Amino acid sequence: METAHPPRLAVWFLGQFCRADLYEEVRGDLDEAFYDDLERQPRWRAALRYSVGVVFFMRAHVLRRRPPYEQARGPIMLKNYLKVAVRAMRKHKGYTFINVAGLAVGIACCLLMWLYVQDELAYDRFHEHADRIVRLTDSEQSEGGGVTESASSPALLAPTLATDLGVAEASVRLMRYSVFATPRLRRPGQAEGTAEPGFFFADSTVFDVFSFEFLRGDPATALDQPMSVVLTASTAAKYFGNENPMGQPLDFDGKGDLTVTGVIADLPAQSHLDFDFLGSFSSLGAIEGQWIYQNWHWPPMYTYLLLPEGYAPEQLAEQLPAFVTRNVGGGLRAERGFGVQRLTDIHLHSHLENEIQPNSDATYVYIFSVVAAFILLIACINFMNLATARSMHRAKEVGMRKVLGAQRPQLVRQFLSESIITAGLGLLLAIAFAALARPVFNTISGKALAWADLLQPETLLLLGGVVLLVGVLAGSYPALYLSGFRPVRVLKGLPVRGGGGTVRFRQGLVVFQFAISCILIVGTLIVYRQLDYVQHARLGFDREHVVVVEVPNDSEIQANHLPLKALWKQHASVEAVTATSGIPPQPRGLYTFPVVLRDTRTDSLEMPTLAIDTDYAQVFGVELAAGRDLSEEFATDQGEGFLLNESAVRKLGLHDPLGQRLTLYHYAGAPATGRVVGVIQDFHFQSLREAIQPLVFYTLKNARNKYYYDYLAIRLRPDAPPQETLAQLETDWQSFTEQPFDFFFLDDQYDALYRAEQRLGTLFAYFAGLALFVACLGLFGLASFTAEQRTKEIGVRKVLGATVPGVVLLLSKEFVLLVGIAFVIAAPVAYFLMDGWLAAFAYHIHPGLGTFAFAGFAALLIAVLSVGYQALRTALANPVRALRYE
Amino acid sequence: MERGSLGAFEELVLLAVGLLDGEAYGNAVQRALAEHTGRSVTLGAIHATLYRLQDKGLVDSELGGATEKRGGRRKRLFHVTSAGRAALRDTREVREQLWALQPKLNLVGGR
Repeated sequence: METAHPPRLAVWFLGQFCRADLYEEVRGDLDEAFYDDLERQPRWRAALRYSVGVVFFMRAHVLRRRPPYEQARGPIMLKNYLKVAVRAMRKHKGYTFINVAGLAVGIACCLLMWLYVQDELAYDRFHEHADRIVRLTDSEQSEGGGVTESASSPALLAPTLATDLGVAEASVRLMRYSVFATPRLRRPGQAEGTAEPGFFFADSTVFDVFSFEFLRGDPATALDQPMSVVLTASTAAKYFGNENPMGQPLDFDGKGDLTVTGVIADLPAQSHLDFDFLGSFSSLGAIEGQWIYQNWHWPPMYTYLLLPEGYAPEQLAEQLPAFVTRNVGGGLRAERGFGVQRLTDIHLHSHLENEIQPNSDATYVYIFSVVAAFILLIACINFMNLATARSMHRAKEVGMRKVLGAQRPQLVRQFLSESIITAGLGLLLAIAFAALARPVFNTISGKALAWADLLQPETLLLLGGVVLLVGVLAGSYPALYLSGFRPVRVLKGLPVRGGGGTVRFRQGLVVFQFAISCILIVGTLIVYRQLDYVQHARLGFDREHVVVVEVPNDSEIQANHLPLKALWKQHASVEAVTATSGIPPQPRGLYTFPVVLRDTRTDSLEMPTLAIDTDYAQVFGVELAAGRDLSEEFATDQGEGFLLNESAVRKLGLHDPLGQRLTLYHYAGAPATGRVVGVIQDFHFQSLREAIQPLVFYTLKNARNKYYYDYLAIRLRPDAPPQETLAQLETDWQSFTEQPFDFFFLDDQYDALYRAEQRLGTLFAYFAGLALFVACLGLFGLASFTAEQRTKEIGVRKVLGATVPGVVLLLSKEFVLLVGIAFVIAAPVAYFLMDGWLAAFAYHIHPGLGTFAFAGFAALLIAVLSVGYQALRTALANPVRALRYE
Repeated sequence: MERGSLGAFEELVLLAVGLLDGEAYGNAVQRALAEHTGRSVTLGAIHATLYRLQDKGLVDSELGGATEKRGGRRKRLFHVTSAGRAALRDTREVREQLWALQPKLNLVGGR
């Protein structure tokens, strides 16, 4: 009988589910009955009765739940939690600093990023019908199967759609006049006009489709009449000051007076449309001729439709191929296609030719959001790591609390409130950080975030949520871990838990933190190296010391630039002068025309072409692969000389290109016919994102063709004094025309080309720095904690003869190993991610081992520095002090 | 909880607690029920009922002495509260009223 005991399973079951306060008496009653039964019955029957008793006891109201009388809750405990939290944080200031600072950096990153994302997502939402507006795109299939899709479309598209399909409630075409040339506007009486690249012409329906705020004038009629114009408020102020601009005349490029018929508020920053003037569409015909409305060939119009409620853009897109077949004639039909874009998708998702302004990229928005979240995560991990690492310190406190009656949920709440308070302090600091970092962030991101944006109600609400989330996320593991201690073990000084699991968990988190940091470092390095590559790559031409002058439309110089050229060439500081229709790196001025090889073929090939003048290769510093540069010494070169680049030679399939006869059919005037006199080496006319195109360079016999020579390019001698030379050039210029002398240096153009990438690089660098900083804060904390724990061990080791370097190594090798593992994990991930980014460039670097080795070394070095300080301090300490406490 | 809602088994347990007069703990109630009604009820069911009666305020309890057989665990001793007595009385009155209304014939015939 002494060996008999109640069935274990039933006892365990009762222990698991019975309310703690009932357990003693119920278990007592059951045991008593069991032993009573045993006196009369076999053990199995008694055991069965015991088990049945346990099972029947399990009713809803006796199941485990909090006893009502043992726990104080509400404000009293809250006050206690607060007090304990504040005491604990004060007692360990360094530790609190690491947590608060880390979280603050993380939250500040997230805050700024959130504002950035908000701003990006808000683009074009201000239009009342934003959800129903679409833009039509124009794709053209070029020779060889490549498709170029353009944001702009031909003039006939909108009116033909209206009569053919008639689905849209309204449609509008906008055209930027500077596709011809930047117009100059002038109030009568003003001496000189101002160049206005933001001049658009628009159908009078523009205000039916878009919602712009009218300050003066009537949106319904403002653009009804020819030669009327609507200004933005700041443009109106620029020309008319405080005067009422309504009804006032403005001279448009010397081609007629426009009358101001309306003033709208300046466009919000979050608009992909960016204009200062809207001229009535009918003026365009009056200025340029009616041909402009009547073609399917040339796509300079931005076409927008307002679709009816409930009409999906996809429905429209489905009908477009049939529409093309019905309406677009002849040879154009096969290669023409139109697409539909939602207005609200343009800013983040549209990257076509001829965008109104360069758009942002959703990918970058995602990347930055994820990176900011990761920095916050790294900070949360610091908190978790330090809290669990410090658990020995707090184990006694937990044990004592439990002995005095604290329940586990109360302890969990205590630790959670500690982490939430830490996060709250982090938030306050984060707002300060964000406010301080705002100007820098605005510069990098190109945004204009205001102070007030930081304190929007929804932002504050979100921040409150973030604090709670971070507090709970960072605090939950320590809270559950610490509150689970068995008080007896703790107070006896026994190890609190198996330990191994927790240590490994902590190590795993450190590895994770450093893996993220390493990925960011590698990313930064690769972005920077690629930028360096594209900025300093051998482009195949020399962009230094080249001055480019814009030739005004219809000017005396465009009609005949040769006398000016001759005048300029006399200056000692001028090496050579040429004229051209396009300037690298902009694809503008490259037109695709049919080219016929007269000696071997009768059919034509569509080739990108560029109109140039003599001495082109010399001015742009392009190497010749065969033949010679176009020169004035050969009278026939002017009008009959052709140059090809090597790609064009390959595309045309020529073995001996020199002397080949070509005919080129350009837009206006007689076709150009002549011979190839030279082959120039391939050079990067466009950005390095694009592959090198075959190019045919041709000359114009009489330069009286207004669209082709848009620029004069002058190569200066390297030692030429720029100011003086420019002054001379300008004086010469003014002896031919009264138009202003607008010039730029060729190399300046390149800075604008990779601005998005530069931003990416800078932001990446900042983020990588912050991530590494926060991770190192955590490592520093962990290291100082480990060092503190092992003070006695180190003391003993030193007494027994350990050297200082030996001790430092002992203390830091674990962390170094962790960072090493992190790097091994991070390297392939980073390689994979960055490879995807690099693929967007036709010409890019191939990140070698060096990049990765450098990133790994940097992470390791910084980690060693943060750990090493602690290790060194401990190692140098006098062992007597460490051991005296015994 | 309304006073009238005393279940049949609850009434029996409550009566047994009253009967035991201050010595009522789980096993004692089980024995009393077995003795007076001949019903063998599991201990678990009795505990569950006792705690429910306590939640309803019909019994009250305190912790009593421990014995060796119980592994040194204390008993919880229950006694009927005045609310419990009132509930018993109400139940009994309702029942007697209903008995009084039974048609005699039917009753005789039923026997």
